[in-house]
Amino acid sequence: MNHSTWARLRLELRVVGIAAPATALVAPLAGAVLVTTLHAAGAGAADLDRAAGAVLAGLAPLGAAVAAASIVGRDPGAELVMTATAYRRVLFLRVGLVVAATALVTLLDAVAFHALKAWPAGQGTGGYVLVWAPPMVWLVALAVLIAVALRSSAAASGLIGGVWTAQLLMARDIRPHAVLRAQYLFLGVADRVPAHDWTVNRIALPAIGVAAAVAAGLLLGRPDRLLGSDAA
Amino acid sequence: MTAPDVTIDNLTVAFKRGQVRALDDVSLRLPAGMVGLLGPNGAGKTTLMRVLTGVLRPTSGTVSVDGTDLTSRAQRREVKAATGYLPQELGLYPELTARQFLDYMALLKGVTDRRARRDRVEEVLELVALGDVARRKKLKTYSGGMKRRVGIAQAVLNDPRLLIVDEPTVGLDPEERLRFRGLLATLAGDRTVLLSTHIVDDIVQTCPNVVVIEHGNVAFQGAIGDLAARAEGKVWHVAQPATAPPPDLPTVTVTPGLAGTTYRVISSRTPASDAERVTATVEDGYMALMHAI
Amino acid sequence: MTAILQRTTPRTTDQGWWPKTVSTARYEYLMQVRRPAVWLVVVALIALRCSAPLPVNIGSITDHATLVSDWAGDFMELGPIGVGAVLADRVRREARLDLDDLLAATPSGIGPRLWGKAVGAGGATITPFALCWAALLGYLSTKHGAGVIPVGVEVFAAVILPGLVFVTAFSLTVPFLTGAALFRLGLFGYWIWGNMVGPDYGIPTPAGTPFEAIGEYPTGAWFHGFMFDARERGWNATTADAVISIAFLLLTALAALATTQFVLTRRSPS
Repeated sequence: MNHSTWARLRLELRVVGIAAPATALVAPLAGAVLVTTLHAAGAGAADLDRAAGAVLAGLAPLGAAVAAASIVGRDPGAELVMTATAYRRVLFLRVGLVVAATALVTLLDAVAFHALKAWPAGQGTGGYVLVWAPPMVWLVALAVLIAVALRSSAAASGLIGGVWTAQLLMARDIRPHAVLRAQYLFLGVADRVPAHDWTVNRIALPAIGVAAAVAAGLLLGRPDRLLGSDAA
Repeated sequence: MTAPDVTIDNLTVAFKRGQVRALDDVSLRLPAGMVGLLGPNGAGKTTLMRVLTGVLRPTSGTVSVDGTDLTSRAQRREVKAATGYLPQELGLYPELTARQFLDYMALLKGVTDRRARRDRVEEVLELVALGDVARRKKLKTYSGGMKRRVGIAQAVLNDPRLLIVDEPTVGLDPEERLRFRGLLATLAGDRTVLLSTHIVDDIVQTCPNVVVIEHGNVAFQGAIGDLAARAEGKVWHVAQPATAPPPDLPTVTVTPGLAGTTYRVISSRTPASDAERVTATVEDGYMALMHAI
Repeated sequence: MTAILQRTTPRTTDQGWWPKTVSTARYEYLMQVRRPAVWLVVVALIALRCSAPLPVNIGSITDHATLVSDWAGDFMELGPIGVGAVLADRVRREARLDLDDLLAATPSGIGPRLWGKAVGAGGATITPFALCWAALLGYLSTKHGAGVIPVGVEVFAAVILPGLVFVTAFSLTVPFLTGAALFRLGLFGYWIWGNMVGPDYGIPTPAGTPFEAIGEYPTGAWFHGFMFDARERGWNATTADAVISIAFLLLTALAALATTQFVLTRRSPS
């Protein structure tokens, strides 16, 4: 990476500010403290596994999504940026930077949790990435799409947070349906699941995420949609 | 550097699925040097400028800069590289210093060479007289005038041949306004500068040519003197002892005096028996145009 | 002085605290209730939960109080998250829009602006919630008779409203410290942990105690409704528990707003 790329990344991070990265990173960082503390306190294996699963598959992806929605919602310099380059590239880069940082910390969490033998019950086959990356891609991409489509980070955060909570609460209603199961964020967190379901789920989540990101990119290509305020 | 040939043919920009036409079949050719853009609020000036900067896509019609078509995505990028824009609602990133902000905009505009970028940023900071504070102070601490200067600095970073400035002197103190006007006139030497403002005096002092937009249409384009000439013979001073204005006539100025109040009005007929005909100004011409007199 | 306006200048008096608060609340209400996000998020989340309501036998319940309070439990699982999410960005709105100086120059004062915002913006965000509830009561009354409506009003006041007031107060105060995004994440986490992660999960939690915000205790004590986490704890709800639960929510909400007013007044340069 050359100097101008580094300079650009550094400045994009300054533009993003502290709130979004703090929101994204608080879950995996606090999660690391929680699981380590539980381990040090001699918590039972089931509690450790559940805590690790909650951090990796639940809280870290949600934090990244809420942070992504907040980045989309507020950009005082959007019009100036548009005069220089395609706005979607800039926005995706900003979201990508925050999500990449979250992904890195979450990956370190996963390695550490595995070493502590704190591992979600049904997630033995995915290395250190498949536990959290597919839900993170799904949530972040949908948050960005909703925020761009509705021009409201409040709506995006509220809906994504609601869907995330609903998936936690309504597992019994979701899991019998193949289509819903394929988009279930917490598959294999609490119990083992058939390998086929696991594979379909881990492919479907990022695939839907990519589709949502493409849709968001298309909407971002229409500047007349973006030159309003975040009033929705 | 030579000024670009900016040609607009049958340009229409519609919003809300065609229900609102911000610009309706506009055809224009921008001459070199400074061009004033006048018009009432909501006339379509900002939309026209956003199209010229490549921010907005036209609904129909063609816009070309030196033959490069702005309606094509690939070519729009090319035009952006030769255009600078200072928007009316100037949004800056408050946590950056001016130097960091300009460095960022230079990177977005494709200036990747570190030394060239640094030299360019220093140069434009000197141009707008912000070199001394640009490193230390964050943009959120800047006054309105300083923010405007940062805005013009970013607009000229890429040494644009077409510079578009929207209400650049709003909120500036008189000295700052004169300075800004001078700066724009200097920049206009071998460029085309499109200056949109409600302050007619700014245009009178700097722009040999003017375009007036009303309801999304071009109401006038030509030399500034021709706009004033539109009202020649139709401008009157009417002195009244009472404070009530002459009925139904566009009033340009109201000057209170010891003997009564003098109204400067536009009328194709003699508005009062003691009315005095006076020489028309650009402001009079604009008022006559807006009221179809 | 030359008269520049035709009408007589309205008399300006130093209004009291109440009129200022009511005026602020009125416009905060109008501004918030016109946001599409408020309606979309609150209605969507309530509809999402109610697409598969609990308890699973809710369709066969005939007792009005039990039926309506169980539906209230479903409303309260996701709805308050939406309320908090769309309120959180109201907190720093004036600063973001550069309105702080303008408002500080009026004689309205920090207190009326804060409490007016709480009542107005909070009321506006609860409006779609209340309309969804009214629609449900209308539907249930066609199946179970008009008797569900008075019970429904009581359930709204005792089970739903205290929790929403609690969420509203914190959504309009905590983001002063954390910003909207971090607050929203915290709200989602708190709502799950503090109201739905029962004692069986083995971690300390207010879920199942009178200090939760989801309204289980009024449900159990007064309306014979289904209690989830409290049942896991083996606790039965009494009237005293229900009163403590409601009082805790309302007093905590008042304390959050009062503390914020105190801090803002101390920090104000004027």
